[in-house]
Amino acid sequence: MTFGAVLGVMGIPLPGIEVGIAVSAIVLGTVVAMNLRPPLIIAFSIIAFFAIYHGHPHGTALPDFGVPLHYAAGFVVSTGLLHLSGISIGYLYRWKIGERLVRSLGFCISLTGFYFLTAAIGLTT
Amino acid sequence: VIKGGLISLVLLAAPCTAIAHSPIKGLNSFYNGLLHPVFVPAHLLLLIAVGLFIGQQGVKSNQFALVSFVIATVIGLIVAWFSVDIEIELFVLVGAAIIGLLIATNPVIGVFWSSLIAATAGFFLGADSTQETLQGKEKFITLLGSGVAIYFLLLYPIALAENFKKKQWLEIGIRVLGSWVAAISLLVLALSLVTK
Repeated sequence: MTFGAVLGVMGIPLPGIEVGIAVSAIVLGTVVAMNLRPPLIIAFSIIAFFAIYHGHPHGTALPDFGVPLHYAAGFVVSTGLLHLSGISIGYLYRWKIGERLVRSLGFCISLTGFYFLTAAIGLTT
Repeated sequence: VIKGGLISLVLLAAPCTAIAHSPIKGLNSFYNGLLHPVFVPAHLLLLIAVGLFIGQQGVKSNQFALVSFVIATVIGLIVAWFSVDIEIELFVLVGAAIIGLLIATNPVIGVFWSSLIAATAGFFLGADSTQETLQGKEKFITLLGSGVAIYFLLLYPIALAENFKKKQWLEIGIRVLGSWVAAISLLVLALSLVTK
């Protein structure tokens, strides 16, 4: 995400950002919904690739703020805390009903991703 | 003291930017210096980074790093005392980014290197503690306050990292914090490069 944000700060364009973000929700949501366990290197690569898309818009917005360091700190900490929330929800996997809940959430994320994708390619507003 | 504390709390809550290296009206020189590392986010970042770094490496085996940090900070403060407005905040951020990455990757570093890293960070923090418009005795007392604050603020992240060594998942938490410090610093550094 930081790499993506740095690209955004430096004004280096990234093609299809909104599509990339939508596809990330579809792919990651599907992985959770189907309980897929890819090897660590593949999981790492998928997450790193999509993280670039998620970081880029934050980096693009950075120069517009009065105190960039405050904005950067807020962006990084809030992202980290959101990840922590996701990890906490993932801990529900310890219980059978929790597993169902987490997988259902993955399915919902995937569906939302499809909605974002249709909006990104102009099929819906 | 209570009045000073209340003013400090109100100022901490306010989204001020211009006060970063300027003295705060209504506070005496010592309190101004004491609050300086808290009001300059880059200083706070580097302090957190150095503290976590020393704590992560282990305080007992890295006592020399802590001593070298304190000595280098004093040298930096003396440089700040004799100089006028040296702008080295960029170096402070570079230091925070490098140390943040070291915390995140957690490599095995010898006492020499950890002491050198801590000393460099201390020097930058001290040398960048000059506040605008201050002269003579006022400037000395302000720098003294900054030195005290830098030392005491460093102890918190050291204690945190040292205590978090007890469990593996807590150690990962420290590495995550290091990655946050690196990410924040790298973003601001990228912007500095673009705007220059």
